[in-house]
Amino acid sequence: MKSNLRRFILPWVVLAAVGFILIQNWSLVPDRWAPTVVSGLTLLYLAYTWNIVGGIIGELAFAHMVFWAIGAYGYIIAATSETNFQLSFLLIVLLAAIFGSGLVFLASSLGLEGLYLTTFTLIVFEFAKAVVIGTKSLGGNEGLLYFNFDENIARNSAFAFIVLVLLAIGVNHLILSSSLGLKWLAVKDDETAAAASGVFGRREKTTAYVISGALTTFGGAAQAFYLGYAQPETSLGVSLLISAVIAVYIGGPGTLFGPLFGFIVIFGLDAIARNLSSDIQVSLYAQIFQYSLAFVVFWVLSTKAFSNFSLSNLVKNLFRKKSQTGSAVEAEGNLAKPEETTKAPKTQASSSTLENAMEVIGITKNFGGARVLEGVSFTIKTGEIVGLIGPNGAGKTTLCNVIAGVYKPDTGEINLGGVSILNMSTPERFKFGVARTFQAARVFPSLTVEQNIRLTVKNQPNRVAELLHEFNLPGKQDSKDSPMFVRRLTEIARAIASPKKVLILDEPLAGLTPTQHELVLKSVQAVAASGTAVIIVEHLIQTVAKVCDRLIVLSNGVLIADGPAAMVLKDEIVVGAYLGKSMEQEA
Amino acid sequence: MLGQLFSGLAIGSIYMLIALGFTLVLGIGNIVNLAHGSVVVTGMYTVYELNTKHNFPVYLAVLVAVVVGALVALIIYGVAIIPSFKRTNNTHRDQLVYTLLIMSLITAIHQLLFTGQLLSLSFEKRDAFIFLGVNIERPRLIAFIVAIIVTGALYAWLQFTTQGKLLRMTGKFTASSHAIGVPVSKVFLLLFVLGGALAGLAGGLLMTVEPVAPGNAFSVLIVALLVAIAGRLTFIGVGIAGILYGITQVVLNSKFDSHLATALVFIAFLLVLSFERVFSSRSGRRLA
Repeated sequence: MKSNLRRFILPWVVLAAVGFILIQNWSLVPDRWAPTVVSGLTLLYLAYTWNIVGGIIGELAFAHMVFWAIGAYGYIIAATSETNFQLSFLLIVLLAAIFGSGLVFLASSLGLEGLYLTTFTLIVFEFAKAVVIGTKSLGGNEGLLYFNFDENIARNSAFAFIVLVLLAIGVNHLILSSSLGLKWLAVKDDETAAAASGVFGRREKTTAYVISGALTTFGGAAQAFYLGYAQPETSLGVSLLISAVIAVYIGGPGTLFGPLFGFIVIFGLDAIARNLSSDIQVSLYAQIFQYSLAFVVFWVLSTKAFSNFSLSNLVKNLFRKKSQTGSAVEAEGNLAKPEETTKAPKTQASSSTLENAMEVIGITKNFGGARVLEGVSFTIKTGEIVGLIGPNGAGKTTLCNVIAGVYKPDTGEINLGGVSILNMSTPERFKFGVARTFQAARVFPSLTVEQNIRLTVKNQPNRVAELLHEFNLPGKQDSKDSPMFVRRLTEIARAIASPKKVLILDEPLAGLTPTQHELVLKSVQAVAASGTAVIIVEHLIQTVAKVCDRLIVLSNGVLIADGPAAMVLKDEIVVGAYLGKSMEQEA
Repeated sequence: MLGQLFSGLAIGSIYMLIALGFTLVLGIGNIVNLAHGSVVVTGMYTVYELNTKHNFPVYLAVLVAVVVGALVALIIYGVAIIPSFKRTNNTHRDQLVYTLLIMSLITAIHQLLFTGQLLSLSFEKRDAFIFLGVNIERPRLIAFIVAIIVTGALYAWLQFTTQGKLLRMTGKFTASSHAIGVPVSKVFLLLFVLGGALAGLAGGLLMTVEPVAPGNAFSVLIVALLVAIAGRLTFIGVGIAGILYGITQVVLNSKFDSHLATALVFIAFLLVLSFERVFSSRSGRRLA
């Protein structure tokens, strides 16, 4: 907790100190440097505002120059028409918010991801550029002019940009150190798993685009203030954005100081060259050298020696003591000494008197012509552990996905505590009480084990510590470096961090050792004891049968058995389904 | 109207070549090359340089452009794509950054060598004849014929020869191909160089009908992305999308202000995307 606080405060202190020093000693900077400082800070500012969308929430979006242009043209129009400052400020931000949310809405309605999303944003950018150039009232290619007769324009602009850059870094820090940052990094890592942890992807992206877009408009306005005009070439030029994107990626996307480090690599020589000589050739040679340098830096950083690649991480690691390296082994060492696992099944007498946690009624699901689930019905009571078994391709995972809200069933009903959940989205179902884990444990690699769990905790300051203790997890560890076992337990802890009515575990034991099986199952029993109904999908029937109150068997999408383990496993139909007898009969 | 249709066909067939090179590399090799536009523009400058300064016949210069395109692709593969394979995750992200850097680098080099001005061949539009009442410019006709022949040959090679089939299967089942002894890394290299040669050819042909400037790399890249995605990364789809894009552009340009026309083309593209969204499975589109 203390270190968290320090991590939160420290950047603010540094930021305030740097800001103070810069502003105090500003008069010492020679006048001829001012233009270079302005062009540098312009790039740095855009890198930081873009980092919110491109780095933290991970959308390689190229439409940011549209925000920039909204600011630039907005400023010139406001200045020439002498509109009230507050009003025009509000209008610009409003316009940015509308454009940002519209962009997210369109992209997610079209289901665009990855390269398609990047292309889409490029197209939107080119579209906006064509519209701006084609609109007479915006001045076409010449743009709009508002000449400012201020002799100190470069100095004043540089000053404005210093304030803006500090603001942008502050906003980045605020996001990264709040729950927003956790959610956004989770969306970047794995949108499906984020949805299954109650994160509404579209809503978070809209917030990110609106914040980042609004900030970006300020940069455009400040640039227009400095230049005295807004032109398609400068206000909508893609080269500035490309430099910003490169800076963010070289320094470490989604980190607080990444954009700064990347900026140092990508910017400098060209500016210095332009300061020293008015010859375009010199500037071009400087550019070529600089891009080559950036290339080499990225090349060195992304080789295997730096698997934790990014300049930002590199610098962090230099200062970090090696105290934490042993924790993974230590953690497993601790866990490998299990106390006596309670092998006896829980007392079943009480289960019949408990209420139903979930009712699944007549679920049928077809994929194209293939019927994957056919009239599957069962109920599960609070605190009950049910094993869902069946041969490969029986429809187990599809059933999990139907319950979790990934697929909509063709017919059937699912009730949770008497309320139908069929019309809820995956995050809504999570909030309502359905949690699930995935076949291959899906933790968020950008987050530590502790942060993975904190993602789903609401208003309970001690809950994370409790869970870490209960599951004996190394909280500080980067989840991407964790062994499979730790990732599994992290995923389970994340799923049940807030009270859940139903927990679905998809093959929680796969890839683990027998000792670890016991430990996972013990945790499952503890979860059930707290009143959560647990469904375990597993192939290791004998192992899970020990903790299950009931077994449900699926075969070819049909529920063929439902009852106590001892009874179900002796059932001829069940044995036949596993050994393929029924298929022989069909043939 | 017929005249516009013909110009659209000619420019569309060049767009088709540009997008096919990009699609081969992305669709089969799953490699993103944002420097594709830069290779095309390098092809354009090659033809310009050889024809105007060294008096090469234009179509011999186009042949050289093919070789130059392949060589530039070879270099890009060596310095950018191979390192990106070394990382198990985020290979696309690495490729995007590397090739973005290369695009910026090549644009700066073009600017240094050829200045930022628009340059064009002197013989452009000189040579034309009338056919069915339509003014046919010979460079456009040749570009169209060459593009169609090359595309047809490439399609036949990929579809009907063992080599072509192997190439496609290597992209689809990389690990299994590796297991049965296909030299996977060589196949990908071949694919990438082939993409570069197509870009060089497209650039060479484009130079015979349009002027060139260093900044073109970005707009050419957009054409490649747009056509490749509208054509759903399939060979025939990209062919049709490329030609249609060319025709739409020329026709709209003659009817409206050129910027309005560009805007309309992008709206049409968005409509194509949403149309696909309604009538196709999601999975086919998720590439990156």
